[in-house]
Amino acid sequence: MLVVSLNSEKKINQKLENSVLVSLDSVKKTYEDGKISVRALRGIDLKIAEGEFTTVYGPSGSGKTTLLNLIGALDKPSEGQVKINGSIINELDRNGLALLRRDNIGFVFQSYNLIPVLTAYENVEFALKISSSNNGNPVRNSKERSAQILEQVGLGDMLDRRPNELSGGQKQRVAIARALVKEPRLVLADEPTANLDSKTSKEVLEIMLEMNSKLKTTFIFSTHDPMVMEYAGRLLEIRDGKITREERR
Amino acid sequence: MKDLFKIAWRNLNRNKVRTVIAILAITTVVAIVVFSRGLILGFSDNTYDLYIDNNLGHARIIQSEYRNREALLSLDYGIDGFQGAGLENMLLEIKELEETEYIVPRLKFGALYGGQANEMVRMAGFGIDPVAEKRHGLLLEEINRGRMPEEGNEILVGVGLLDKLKADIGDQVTFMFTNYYQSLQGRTFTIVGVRESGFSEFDDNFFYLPLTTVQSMLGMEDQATEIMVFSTSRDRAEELEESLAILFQERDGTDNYSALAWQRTDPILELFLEMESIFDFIYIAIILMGTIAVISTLKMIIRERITEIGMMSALGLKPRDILKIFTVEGALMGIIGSAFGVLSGGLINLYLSRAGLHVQAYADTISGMDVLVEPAFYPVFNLENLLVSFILGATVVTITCLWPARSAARLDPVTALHHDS
Ligand SMILES: Nc1ncnc2c1ncn2[C@@H]1O[C@H](COP(=O)(O)OP(=O)(O)OP(=O)(O)O)[C@@H](O)[C@H]1O
Ligand SMILES: [Mg+2]
Repeated sequence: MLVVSLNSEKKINQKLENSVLVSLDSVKKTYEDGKISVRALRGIDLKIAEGEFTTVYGPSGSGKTTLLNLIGALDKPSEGQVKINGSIINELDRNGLALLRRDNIGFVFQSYNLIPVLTAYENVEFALKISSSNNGNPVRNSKERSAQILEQVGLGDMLDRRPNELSGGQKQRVAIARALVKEPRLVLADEPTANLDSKTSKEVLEIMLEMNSKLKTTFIFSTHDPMVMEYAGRLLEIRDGKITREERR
Repeated sequence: MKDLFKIAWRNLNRNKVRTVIAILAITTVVAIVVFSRGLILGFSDNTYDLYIDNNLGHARIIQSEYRNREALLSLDYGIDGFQGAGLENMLLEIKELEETEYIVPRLKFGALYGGQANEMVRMAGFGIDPVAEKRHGLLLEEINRGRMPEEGNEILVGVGLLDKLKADIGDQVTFMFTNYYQSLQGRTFTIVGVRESGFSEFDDNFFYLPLTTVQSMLGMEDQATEIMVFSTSRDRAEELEESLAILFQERDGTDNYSALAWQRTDPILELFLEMESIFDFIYIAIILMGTIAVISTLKMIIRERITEIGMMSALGLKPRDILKIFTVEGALMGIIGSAFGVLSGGLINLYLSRAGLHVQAYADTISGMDVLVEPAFYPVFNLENLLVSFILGATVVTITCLWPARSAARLDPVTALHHDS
């Protein structure tokens, strides 16, 4: 029994090494805000493998957003190293970070952040076009792909609605579609359910899970809602800028 | 990227009142520019053409010394061809130049008329080549009664001079003049036509008769006092001047004759031309005033959309693309504003180019001055003005929009995303 579990642990570790998408190495982040400096992350070591569905759980102010910003190549660590899909973000400039995000990462935000003047469909297509705008080869059938992904998140009949004509849950589904349409390796969702009621939250999470298993996309999402935790494939609990608990289910 | 345009365009509709105000600001300043350019263009164009058509041609040939003695209507500085080989030969050679379109030679002399009440009327007579004048067209157009004078003793008289002579078409008048040899002569002419140019300097003082008649009565065979040379357009005057200088050098070898492009013949014209280039800066300054509205609108827009900017940055839009989005948005306001500005300014000019802008005070001032200008403003309506003003408006607005747009592009995505709007 013990042997078996040890074995399987080994296997998992091996698998991890082979397909590590994100790795953080004693990462610290300190915000200097005038005279006050806030130590938002105080030493994080973390590896995330491709295909994982990870939940970062922690109370307000614990450092979830800061962590996700680093993993999302939106920000750089004060100390330590962040590696995403082979690139060390410490070494990249703003354009390099933008390219890394464009090619590898989809984002879902707490407050949806859809472009209000574009329809659901156009929001999704815009993200797809951005992702292909600079690598020279224009996306083929961007229309079909955008419509198709919206259908997959259950919005097939709302393509032409603008964000202000959609409910919160629907907006967040558009955001998920937008994050997924370019088929990124990694989708980051910072408290995607914080503005949603529990029923809608569940629907949104179901969709993320479904996409995770269908498309093998790696998901990392943060929450401070214990109810949402049960969806985690892998749970990271974070407190005061440190990982205090880690669990796989 | 087409989508950046789409987004910028739709964003303009987001706060219509604000957008309309910014656009109106541009419309106003561009309309002002169109109008003032039209006005100044009209004013200077009219003036240039008046001088060119009546006096200067595109280049004017005289004996170099004549410049200082012209006012005295001296006959001592006649143009008698290259090394004295005669006017006709010289004209033929000038005609050969590539830049030459046509040539108008004239022989100017002074004359007197002793009226009934013993008052003397001083006049200037012009020997004119009927064929060349016909090609030039000006005199013919301005004959308001009668016809061009023919060989013999026929003259065409300015309308004001006709009054002074107390004569009419068909009447005979006897003028006195001194010929080349300084001897006083008298000759009786028949008035066959009346010229009305609208300018008292011409209408009150000038009369016209065939060049050959004047040449023989003054004893100046095959000579003229001035030659107006015309090219295809007044813009080619300097090329023309250059070719003429070369021709003179080759054929005459002296600096006996001078050919001057119209711009250089009269200090007033030089002043005008200089002013025009100063005005270019004024136009830009006027447009910059309008861009203040666009810039402040853009700044507000950027402040409101900070999280949106953060999101786009997260999606992978590079700072340059974000710069583009906001620049395009400002540029659209500039383009739309400029288009309306050009349209309204153009309509104003179109109307006033026909009706004229009559300013009484101006007319009063002008009538007392010895300058060639009309007592009303006629702004020019032309496409060049509209195009230049439009491009000026759109470009200045777009360039100034780079400044607020750059601040958007420089936003750090994390700060932008977590901005509380
Ligand atoms: N830009 C910043 N400047 C200064 N301090 C910051 C900044 N961003 C975050 N912090 C601080 O860093 C700590 C971690 O913040 P972070 O936003 O990562 O927490 P969080 O877990 O996402 O909280 P929440 O659940 O409220 O979103 C907090 O103490 C916060 O006040
Ligand atoms: Mg947070």
